[in-house]
Amino acid sequence: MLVGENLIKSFERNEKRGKKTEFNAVDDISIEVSQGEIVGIIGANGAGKTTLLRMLAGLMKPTSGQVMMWDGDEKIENELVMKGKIGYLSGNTKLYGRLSTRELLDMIGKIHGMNTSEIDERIAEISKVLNMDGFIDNRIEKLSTGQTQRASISRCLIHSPQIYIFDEPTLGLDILSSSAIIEFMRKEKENGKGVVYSTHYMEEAEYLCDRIIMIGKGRIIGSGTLDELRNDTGFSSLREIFGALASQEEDLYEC
Amino acid sequence: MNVKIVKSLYKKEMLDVLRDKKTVIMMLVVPLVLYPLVMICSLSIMTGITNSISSNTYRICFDFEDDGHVGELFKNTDEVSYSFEIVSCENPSEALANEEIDAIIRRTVENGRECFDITYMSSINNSSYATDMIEKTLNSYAHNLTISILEDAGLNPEQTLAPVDIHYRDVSTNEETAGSLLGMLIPFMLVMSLLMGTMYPAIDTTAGEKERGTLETMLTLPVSNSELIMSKFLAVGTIGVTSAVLNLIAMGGVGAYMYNMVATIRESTGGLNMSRFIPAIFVGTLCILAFAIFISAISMCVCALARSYKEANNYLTPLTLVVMFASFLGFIPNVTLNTSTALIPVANVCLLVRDLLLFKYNIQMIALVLFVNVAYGLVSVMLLSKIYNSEAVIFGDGNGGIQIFERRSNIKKGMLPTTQDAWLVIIFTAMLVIYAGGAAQLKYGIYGLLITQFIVVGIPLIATIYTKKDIKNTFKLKGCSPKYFFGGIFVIIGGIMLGMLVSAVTGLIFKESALDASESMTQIIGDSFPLALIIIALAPAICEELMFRGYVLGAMSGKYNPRTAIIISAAIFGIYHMSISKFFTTALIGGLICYVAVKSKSIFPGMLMHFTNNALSVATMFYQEETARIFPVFAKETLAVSDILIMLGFGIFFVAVGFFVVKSTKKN
Repeated sequence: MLVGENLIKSFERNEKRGKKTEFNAVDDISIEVSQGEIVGIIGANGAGKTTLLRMLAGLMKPTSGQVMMWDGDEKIENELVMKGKIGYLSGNTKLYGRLSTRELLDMIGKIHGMNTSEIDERIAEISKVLNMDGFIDNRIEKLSTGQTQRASISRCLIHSPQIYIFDEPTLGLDILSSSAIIEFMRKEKENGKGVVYSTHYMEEAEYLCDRIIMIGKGRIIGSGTLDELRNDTGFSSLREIFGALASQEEDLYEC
Repeated sequence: MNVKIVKSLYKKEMLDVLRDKKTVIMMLVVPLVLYPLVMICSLSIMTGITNSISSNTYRICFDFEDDGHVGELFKNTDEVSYSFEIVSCENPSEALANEEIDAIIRRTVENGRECFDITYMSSINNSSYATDMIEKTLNSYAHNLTISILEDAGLNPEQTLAPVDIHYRDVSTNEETAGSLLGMLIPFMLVMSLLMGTMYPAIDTTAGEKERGTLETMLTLPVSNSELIMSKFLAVGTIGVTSAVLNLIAMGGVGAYMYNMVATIRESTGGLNMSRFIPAIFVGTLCILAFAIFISAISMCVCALARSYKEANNYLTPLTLVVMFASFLGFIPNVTLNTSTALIPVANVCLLVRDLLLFKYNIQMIALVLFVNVAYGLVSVMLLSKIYNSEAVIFGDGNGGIQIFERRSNIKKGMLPTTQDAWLVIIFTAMLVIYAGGAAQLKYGIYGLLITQFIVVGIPLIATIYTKKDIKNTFKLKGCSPKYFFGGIFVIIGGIMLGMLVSAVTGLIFKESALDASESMTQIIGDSFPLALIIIALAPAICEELMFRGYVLGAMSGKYNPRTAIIISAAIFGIYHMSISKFFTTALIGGLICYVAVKSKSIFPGMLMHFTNNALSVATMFYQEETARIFPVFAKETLAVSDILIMLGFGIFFVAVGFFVVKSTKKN
């Protein structure tokens, strides 16, 4: 289980006349992701989704608050140990173009402390699942968009993580590629893995997520299962629910 | 640090870099193909030209009635490489113009002297070469004639023609001659090739990784910052060393080829005993490794600040210029390797390699240079891991950071300079002070010191104005309560006492460099007390204060807490004085002044403190006897235990009183 407690991340923003003001990109958000569930994070651009996921993945240190993991009853706070149990994927995690997928997976496996035979086995397994046999030894810079995306996913899989953190994984992909990713997340959930991911696609979230967290301006504006959210707001589709919650929040700020 | 992780990261970095065509071309093709090709081509072109000249037959025409003895001269030259063909023609001038002949010779006899007129065309190569050869032939004819005339007169021709005979005997061995020539070139070539070799991998592994977006991928892995930096550093270092070695091999190969060529042309092989160079090569290799550590770390530091390939290239250009400039020091004959020059990066390696090639082995100096390079390298690596640790650098969208290279219209107004800008200004000012200031002092003596001070205050001032920062705020140009002046005087008096103790200790450890410093000072200051007071006490009190307690401390306290800012500024102030023996003393004094400046938020108490300190040392230098009478401790060569205790006691007391005064706040 991955837990983020009271996470705050503040940045400096340059304003007129060179004055710097601090603002909280993520403002006191607590979040929990258990094994076997998919948590969706929905929010407008600049709402703080990426910053939140980066903190959960250990890429950024929270200004205050804490990220930890529970492995059964064992509490894990060491950042490096946590990174070993997390698979993080975003539009910004590019791959080394001059390496082949196999070389990349081999390197990452070694960093995760796996031995050579383990790595070879796992690569063969993943290559079969993601259908990568045809291009696994080609340089990544020569691959097509879909192939690159599969290579990216294989990178998160190699060390069999417990929790996946995906930042807009389906953004800009065609229908086939994006539905492959959606299916992948469902399968991993059935395998008992936890997934937290952000998206702009409401229908996708409706279909996929066990719980949904909506954020605006760095704060949680609504959260729960789809049914809970429907009951709270009285709307049926996620799109309407988000619209209602977001405008409520606006009113709050304006008062 | 997990060695396994570093190893697999290193492997990845090497694969990544070696599959980059640019790096491979820089590393392999330039040294191994381009150098030899250029050298050999230009050599063969040159020898080709010389060969075609000397194996020619020149056609000449006599424009007079020859009785036979002149023709004889030109027919029977002793030369094998060229010969003359005597042509007779109707209209010699026309023939010369049509290039049918190379020269026309006329001979007249005046007052018993033979006069030769040679007509030629300097615009035509063969004609002018022919003229040279004719001159040579006629000269030897004249010489022979002179000898026979002298012999006829009953004189000894040798004695008469050359009553004074001068012989030169060069006792330096062939190896030494070769070494001194190589000593000029090799260090420069070595430094530049190492820099060129490390440049591309340095950009590629830092800014390149950022630009390609793989850095974020790397951060998702359980890799610590130090493992990441170490692997990158090792990869860049490996490539740097490899390219330096390849460069050296290529240079050596070309050198050997040229040597052979010259030897066959001259047909006199002096014989170069290559085994004499072995120790030099061995120590030199160590030196290259140490320098590779340094230069890789430095170029990575510079590149890590950049967000893209292009930006990194921009940052590296000034670095290249600075490195080039510093390596030119190896060309200056009077600059030798000593404890001060050994501290100047780049220059120290050049000087050491030069010394090695002259067969000067000073173990202490070798050790010092190696140590200094490794130490600078390590400091840079630490700095690098600090830079790489900051989210602003990794995820940064370009706010803050280095602003000096931005277009001015893009810079926003602000209160204090950024630390990154401050570091650049410090480094640039230091370079200018070392090179331009040093040159000014050599040329103008004491007024050179004044120029140095203008540099010290000018650069930060320009940088502050250019980056649109608030001058009043940055340089603390604000008045303050008189108590800070009062407290400051106490602090500085205590500080001077403690400083003397510190320099007594450091003087024991670094004897030579302390002596160096005091000698050079007395040489420069001359004998006018008021002038020395103005230039050594007043000018630094204003200029150095503005730089160190104004700009540097201002920039540092914009980012760090006051204590860290004071420590960093004090250390920079210490390093600026360019001497190990003075470092601790000046850093101490600098730190104390920083403290008062931070408390008073004004530059002026610091100026007074600085002036007091410097004025006191000027007075001590001019009025040694008087100061010895008033403060006997000042004149003592070695300090007794009681002196030490008294000074320590008074020093701490004065500083404490000063701190108390400065710290106390008015109670409302």
